[in-house]
Amino acid sequence: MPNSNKGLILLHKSGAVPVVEAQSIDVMLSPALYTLKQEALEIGFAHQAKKLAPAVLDELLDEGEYRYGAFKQNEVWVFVAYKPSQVMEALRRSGIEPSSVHKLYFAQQSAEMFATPIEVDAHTVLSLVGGVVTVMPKALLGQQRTLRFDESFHPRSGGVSLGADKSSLIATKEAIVLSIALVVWGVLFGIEGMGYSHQKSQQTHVIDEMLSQHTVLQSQYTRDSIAQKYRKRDTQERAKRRFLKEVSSVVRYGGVLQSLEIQGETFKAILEVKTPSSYNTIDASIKVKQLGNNQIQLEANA
Amino acid sequence: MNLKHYKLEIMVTLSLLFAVLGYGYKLTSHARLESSKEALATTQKEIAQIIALQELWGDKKLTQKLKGIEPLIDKSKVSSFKLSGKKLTASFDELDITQLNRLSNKIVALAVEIKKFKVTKVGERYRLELTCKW
Repeated sequence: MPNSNKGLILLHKSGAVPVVEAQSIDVMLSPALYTLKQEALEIGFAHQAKKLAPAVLDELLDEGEYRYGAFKQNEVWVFVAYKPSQVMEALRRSGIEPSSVHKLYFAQQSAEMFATPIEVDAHTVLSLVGGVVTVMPKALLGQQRTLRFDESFHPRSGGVSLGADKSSLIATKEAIVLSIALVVWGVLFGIEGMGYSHQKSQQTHVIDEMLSQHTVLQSQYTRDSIAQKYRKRDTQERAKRRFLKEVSSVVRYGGVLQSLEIQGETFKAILEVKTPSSYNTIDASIKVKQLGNNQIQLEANA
Repeated sequence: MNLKHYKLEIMVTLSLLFAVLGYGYKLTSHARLESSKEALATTQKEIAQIIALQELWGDKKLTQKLKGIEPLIDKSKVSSFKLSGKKLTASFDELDITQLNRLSNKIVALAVEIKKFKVTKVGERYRLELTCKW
């Protein structure tokens, strides 16, 4: 039973059989499009075998870019190499868009099906020679009958991807790696962003706690109003106290207070001192006026 | 157009979009945090200041504390001392400079609003008229 419900075609250098018009198809490569070597190696898994394929097949291959496949057949590992460019050229020659290829299979994967030769074109057949599917001239068969290639040749498993969707600008493997990296970045950025949001809510919590103890301050309008009221009072009262402190310091150094008046926003004090000129500068906010007769007047505003 | 042909580009684009959205979220959260840090620090400072001002200028024990002024001076020198509601009106006569200092230091130390503080020298002594509110 085939493992896929997609149409299967046999692709040879000269073309493909049967002609299928589908958006997605599986392709079985004729031996003309791949190089094969069988080795009885102690390898457990196909992916390990696939990694070894370049080394196994090295001496059999020409220059060029190859892709590799490996599968086990009758306790023997079969290593396969194919040129994607060659496969794509053959697909295009057959009028098939490489992008519509779902999976690639190798004729060797269905070797037993080629026991009876399969006609590829008017001059060529595929036949089993020594257990290996081989391209043969039809003339060698003489009167031997041939079969037609059909869906029953579909291997049970082991297909490989053509590698790159040729309408794509990026290879599958690179696309997956890049996508994973981008998603990881996105997640990390998201986590970082959530951390910032959490910090923000923590900050708000401190203010909320403060306001819960002073409920009257919850409204900005109330806060502004209270602040305005107390700030004005604070400024004015501090000015009055600063003035009184300066007057007091003059008295402490021998000055005699004659009068002092703090009323409204004006503060005035008259003092008798021994050397009026030494009191020219007391505090930047207080004006000192010489009144004669050793008297000075200190004046300030709120 | 068969979107299937562009599945890799779509996958990478969506991942890129996800990363960009994540980055945008991070930047926005960071900017919000920074601006809220500033705003919250200002609010916190403002609230703390208001609370401090309220506690200073809205001391509920001021009436009691102002009552303590009268005993500082001989009764004979207290011409008037009237505490009504949140207002004190008082006048003192025949104060020497030490007594005047004592009184003014006491008033200055209390968080009251000095409406009137008038000192007049009469001979070698002083007369003090005081009005304050709280």
